[in-house]
Amino acid sequence: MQPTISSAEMTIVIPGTHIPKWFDKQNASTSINMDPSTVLDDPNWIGVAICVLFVTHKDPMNLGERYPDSSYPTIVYGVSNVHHSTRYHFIVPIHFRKDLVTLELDHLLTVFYSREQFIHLLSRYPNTMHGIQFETVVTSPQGLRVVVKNCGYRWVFKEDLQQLNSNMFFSGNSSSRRRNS
Amino acid sequence: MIKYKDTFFSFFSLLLHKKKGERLIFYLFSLLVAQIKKLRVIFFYLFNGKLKFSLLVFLFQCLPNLRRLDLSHSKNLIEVPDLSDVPLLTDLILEGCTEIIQIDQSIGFLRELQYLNLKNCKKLFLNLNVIFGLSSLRRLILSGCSKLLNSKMLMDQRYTEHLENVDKNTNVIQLPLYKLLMFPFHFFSPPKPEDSLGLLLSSLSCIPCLLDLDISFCNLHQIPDEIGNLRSLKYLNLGGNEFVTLPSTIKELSNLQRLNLEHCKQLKYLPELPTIKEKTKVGYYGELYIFDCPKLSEMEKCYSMVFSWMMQNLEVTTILSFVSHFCFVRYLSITEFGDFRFTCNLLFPQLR
Repeated sequence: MQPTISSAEMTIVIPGTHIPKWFDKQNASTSINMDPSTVLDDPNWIGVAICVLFVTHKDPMNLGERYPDSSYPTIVYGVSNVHHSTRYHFIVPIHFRKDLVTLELDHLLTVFYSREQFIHLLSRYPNTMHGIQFETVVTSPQGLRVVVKNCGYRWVFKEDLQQLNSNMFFSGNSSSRRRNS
Repeated sequence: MIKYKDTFFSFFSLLLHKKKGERLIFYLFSLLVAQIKKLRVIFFYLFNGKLKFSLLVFLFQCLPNLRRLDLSHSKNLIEVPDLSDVPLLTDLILEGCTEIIQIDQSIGFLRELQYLNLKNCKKLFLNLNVIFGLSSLRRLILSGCSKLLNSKMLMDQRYTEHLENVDKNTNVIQLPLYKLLMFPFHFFSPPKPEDSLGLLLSSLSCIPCLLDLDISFCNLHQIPDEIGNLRSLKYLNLGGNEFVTLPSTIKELSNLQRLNLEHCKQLKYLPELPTIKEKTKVGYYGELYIFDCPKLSEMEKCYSMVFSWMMQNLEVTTILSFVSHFCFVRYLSITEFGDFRFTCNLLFPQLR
């Protein structure tokens, strides 16, 4: 009998100009390495929260020849292993179109995987804990350049949830919402 | 000359690319259809957007068992013929049929219809009360149907007659009738453009299994309070519309897992978001997209609302972490915490 997996996953896209410090591991790139071996045996570990900062620029040089189909997903993300060629990506179902999107507006993509869900994702890459990373892949549509500025994550433990509040999770973003140009 | 391959379909599609081959196609198709009367699925991608009304009528008569009809991007389709010949239809996909103006009222008799996709049928005008009859509907995609949802519903004789017919033919529809009888009184006040949407939403609230509603990019300036009645809804896409705020009734959608508010350029205030009441056995996947809403104000409040939405929905996870103390249990099936039931699978790597 194959039991069902009870797990939780949350995806949020919200305006924001920087990744809060609460996400204690950060990398100014489109991906970030993760080492789950330290938390897997900890009974108080309940999941992982990941945050990605991205922005849309104008780019007349991008003729969008590679993917002329406008329904092609712009941002996808996933937990992958650098040593495996197979990638499993989730689509962020938001539309970037030159005539639609407001330029230079920073947004955060926040993903939470519960412990069970994260372990389920890892089970696709058996026998190794090395080379696990969270990655985003961006395909900019015609006339635009969508840029992932940085990524961050935090292993979430039971005691974190008791202390966590909105300010820490989205800290500093509310006062400094600005439009770069 | 065209050098065609072995398979029938590649031969067929090659033929269809020739502009003057319509008569031949018709003939071939009659032959084909005669062979496969039990055909359940039709895709019209092959037609390259050139689809004849008469061919459709003919096909419907030949294929009483048809389940899935995909007419996506049939650019010269103006009308969908009588659908009462295909009463078992479960999926009707008319995405990108931009010229379509009318769908026969018989669509309201499709009791088995589960998936109706009218995405970007920009010119479509349909008397929305036919939705009452679609008692099995699960997914309704009306993205980009701005004409459909912004038209003022006018009460005419045909409209009531049709409903009476619907009522005779089914005993599922009983509840909304009083609302319809009340409808003529709306003439005392000038109808608002949102009226057709309000009517649609009250019709939809009578459909017990509606999971997915997409009314994005419909130029909607206001979302009626009736949206809160769609209790079965799991996925709601309101993106690309012009409303400033959402009705507070949105928090009553206690099964909602995905809310998309992308490109709501006028959105100023976020409402209180619904939290899930009943956890599913297979897990919870919450999604919230507030993207490109440049007028959104009181960000502090927004963040705190989104945060509490997230935390309340994550309660299930914290309860699950209690279970994870049972490190030696590989599979823990049904566990009960009060009236809270779930199935979970604890996968621990390197348990050896």
